[in-house]
Amino acid sequence: MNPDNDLLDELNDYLNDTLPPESRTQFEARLLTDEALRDELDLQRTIREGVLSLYYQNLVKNLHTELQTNGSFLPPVNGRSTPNKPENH
Amino acid sequence: MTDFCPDFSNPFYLLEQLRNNDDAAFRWLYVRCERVCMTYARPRTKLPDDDLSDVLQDTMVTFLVQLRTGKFTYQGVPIEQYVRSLFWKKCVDRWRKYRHERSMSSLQITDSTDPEQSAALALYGDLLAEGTARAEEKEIWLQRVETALSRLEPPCRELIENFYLARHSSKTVANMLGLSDGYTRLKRTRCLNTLRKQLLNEYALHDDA
Repeated sequence: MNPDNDLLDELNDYLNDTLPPESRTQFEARLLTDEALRDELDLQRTIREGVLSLYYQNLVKNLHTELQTNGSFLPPVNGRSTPNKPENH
Repeated sequence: MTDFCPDFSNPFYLLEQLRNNDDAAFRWLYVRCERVCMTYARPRTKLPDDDLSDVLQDTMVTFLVQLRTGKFTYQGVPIEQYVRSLFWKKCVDRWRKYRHERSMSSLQITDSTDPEQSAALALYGDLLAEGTARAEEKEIWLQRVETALSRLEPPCRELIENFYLARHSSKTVANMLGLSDGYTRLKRTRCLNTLRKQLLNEYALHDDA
């Protein structure tokens, strides 16, 4: 199944929980009987989660570095550095 | 003129702003979570701060994805406390991984200050091992999506990110990109189908088409 524009919008709206109640009920009824649609929903869910994870990984990594650099975090505690790693001076 | 000062201490407002990718909301929550999580973990574990920082970042990603995919529902618990519980499970999970991989030569989680923790450790038991397997499987999938995304042309990646990240209609995205709505939807669908095909072909996933 190669989803078209409308189906992609419908799948994304379903995953975003933004389908109107009536459309959601109809969509869930189709899911019960349409195996290809269920597979497509699973695939879209995975892609969506992957895209979100990658986006947030970059965002959090950059934010962490920036906040660490400008001293927004708790001060480090002596003796809590990673074993076998040289201390930063 | 008065500067607008967002009230992120209101959890409903904070969650809405996080869903809208508000940078100030991310910062506000991240600083608070760092304090809450590190203050909680440091007396309870000998995991080094570098590891705790890694776990914290991973926890924040997990939480934000949960929020965007509807897997997190606010139930009255302060958000930083919810993040802390996720964080601590991941700390324990990491500790177990260390124990398996390195025989835990010098790292130990201590629970002398918190009897609740020893009960939690016992309870998590197999669940954590199962959680590790799930996390590894998820990691593999993320790598697959990352690889497939990296092979797309930059405009395609941008469209796909807009589709999943921005909570805008295709019309708004089209305006942002200076394109027509019809063209944007068509292009987005083609890009997504290319990504989809790569995932299905390369990793031998079943396709009913």
